Amino acid sequence: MAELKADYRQSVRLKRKRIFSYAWVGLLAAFSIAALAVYYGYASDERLPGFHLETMEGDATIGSAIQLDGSYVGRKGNRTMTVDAEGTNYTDANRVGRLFILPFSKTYSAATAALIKEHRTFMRGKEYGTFEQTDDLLLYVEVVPKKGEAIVKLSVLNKKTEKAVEYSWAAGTWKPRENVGLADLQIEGKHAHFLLERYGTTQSNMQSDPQLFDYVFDLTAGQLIDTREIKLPVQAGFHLSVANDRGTSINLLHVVLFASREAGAGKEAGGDQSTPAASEKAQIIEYEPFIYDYADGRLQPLALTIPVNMEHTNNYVDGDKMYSVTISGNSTGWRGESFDITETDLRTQSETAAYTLLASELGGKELLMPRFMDGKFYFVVPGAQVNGAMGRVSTKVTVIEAASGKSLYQGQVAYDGPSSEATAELKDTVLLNLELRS
Amino acid sequence: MSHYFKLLALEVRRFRYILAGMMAYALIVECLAVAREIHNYANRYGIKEGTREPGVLPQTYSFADVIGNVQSGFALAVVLPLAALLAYVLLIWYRDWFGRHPFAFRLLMVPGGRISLYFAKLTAILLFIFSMLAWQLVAMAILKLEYAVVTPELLKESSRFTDAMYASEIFKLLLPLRFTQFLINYGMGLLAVMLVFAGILLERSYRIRGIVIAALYLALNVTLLVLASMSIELPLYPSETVAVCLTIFGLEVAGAIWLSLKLITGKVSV
Repeated sequence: MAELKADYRQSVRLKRKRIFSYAWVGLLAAFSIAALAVYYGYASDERLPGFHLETMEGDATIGSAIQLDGSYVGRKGNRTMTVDAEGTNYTDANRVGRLFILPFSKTYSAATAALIKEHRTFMRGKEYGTFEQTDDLLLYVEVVPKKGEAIVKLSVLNKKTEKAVEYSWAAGTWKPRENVGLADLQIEGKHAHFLLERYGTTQSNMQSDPQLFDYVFDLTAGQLIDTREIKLPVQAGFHLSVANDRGTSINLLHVVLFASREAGAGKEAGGDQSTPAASEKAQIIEYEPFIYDYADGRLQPLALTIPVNMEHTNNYVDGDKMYSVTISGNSTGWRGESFDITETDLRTQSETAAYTLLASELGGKELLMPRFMDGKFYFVVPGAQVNGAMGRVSTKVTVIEAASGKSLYQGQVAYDGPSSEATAELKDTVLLNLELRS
Repeated sequence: MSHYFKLLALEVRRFRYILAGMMAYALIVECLAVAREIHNYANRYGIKEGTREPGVLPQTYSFADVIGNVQSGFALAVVLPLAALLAYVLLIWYRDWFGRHPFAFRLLMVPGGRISLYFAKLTAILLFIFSMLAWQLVAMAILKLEYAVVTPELLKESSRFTDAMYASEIFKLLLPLRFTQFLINYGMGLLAVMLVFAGILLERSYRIRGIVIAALYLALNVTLLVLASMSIELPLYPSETVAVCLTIFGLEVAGAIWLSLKLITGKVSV
């Protein structure tokens, strides 16, 4: 009997020992799952702050086409993000351990993303080239080097049938230290014009002897019908900048070309030569504007008033009108306290409107160089530091009619969380790049 | 299933003291590093010695700041246990072959098949890794308590728990804030463990020849992974690239399991 009892006690001890060893496994598993679940439940990416672009005034549909890009530099490191009317999208990934990470972090520009949504098959692999579209056609063009030649690769999509046709042609040589690129792409009726710019680079990476070619392509016949060299009547050693047509009109198509020449010594009449900045500024002595008409291939000089601060001027063409946006007041790079905007009629070559836009009137300290699309300027008013207080006011967006300066839309970045946190979260949000979905 | 749990319990029991030791080591080193950092910072402002200049307000020092400034202490606390765990990925197999009467002989003869043995060892390694991670989270909570106790009132500043986690370079890798990133990191880790297991079983099956085959097998898998990551260069959309990567990952996992089970059931001997 005693032996039986001892056996029974030993059996119970063994059973307890076995249960105890299982308990270790259960304990470790439960501990791991609980701790990690609490951590990721609490600290997941969804806990990053959310923002959206809120319409304050004007047409909300304008705001729905706007996307702001930037970063959140707050408590969880620098995270790239986009903000639009619908909300916030964090576009980056933690770059620790790059294998398998890149596919998760690839992003497209707002316009490319919108095209991918509409024409997924056609858009495959098309990302870095130039797009142009009408109601019926979508064109994509890339200029690529191949065996010392510049090859223009064109894809044309019929939007109604979703059928695409590919074309390509050689556009001259592509030598070492030479740049070949598309300066403009326009559709004029059944013709597409490809303005190709070719230039060498000097030791200091400056343009040298730029050449321009207009390749005229018949979209109906699917063939190149003309190659026009645009020879600017200026002395050698000039630089070139191009103001493209960003308007909706497809009947009045032209491009404005600005040739500028440097003076070797850098002397400006009445200017102060004592500082390096002044001598650098004095190097560009003259601008010669020209207008090139795509329909007949005519090049004409333009008698325009060139702004004094031309190196801080952007020009945008919209049909017969050209808008010049010049930073005035205190400027840093492409931002300033105020912008002088002029409208010029390209046919009469006369100034038809002029006004000044002040950042202070738009609720900010400075403005960024705008985007131009279809007769409208899209300005970003960065969130400036609030005087005498911690934090910033939120980033604002103002859309104005280019011709009159009339405000069409005003929006601001709003925090999605409690208002008590808004100031702190907006302080860490930097949104400086504006993109348009169309 | 019960064989699997018995073998898993056995593996956990064999490693429990080392695991507990690693946990204690990590906590002690981290506590000391944090205490030392706060002490040094307070000394800079003469708060501890009472030599602070009147009227000069010291810069506050949040818990996240402290963690951000004890990178080397945390590296010391985490790297050694991590190295031990990596070494144990090899030892979990080879320790059974040590000695005059190898324990592997008994393990391989356990009724119920050898498949359970493979999965028990794999689960044990994962359990140890995730336990150490979970312990790090608990340790951070303990360190936050330590911060509250040790830091002089003048220096205290509130900070979020996740801010402190993100302040540490080593935690960015081990416990990334984004759960997708966590899955990717540990998915790759799991695959690496499986590939090493397959390599060990190749070596145990074919000895010297097995080492060569294992090296080739590992090289093949790494090449495939590199090719998968290069698929971003193809004209594919991000979702498609992810699908390609996940397919290759899945194939490699399936291949490693298939090869390991084939070897352990039909080839490995003592």
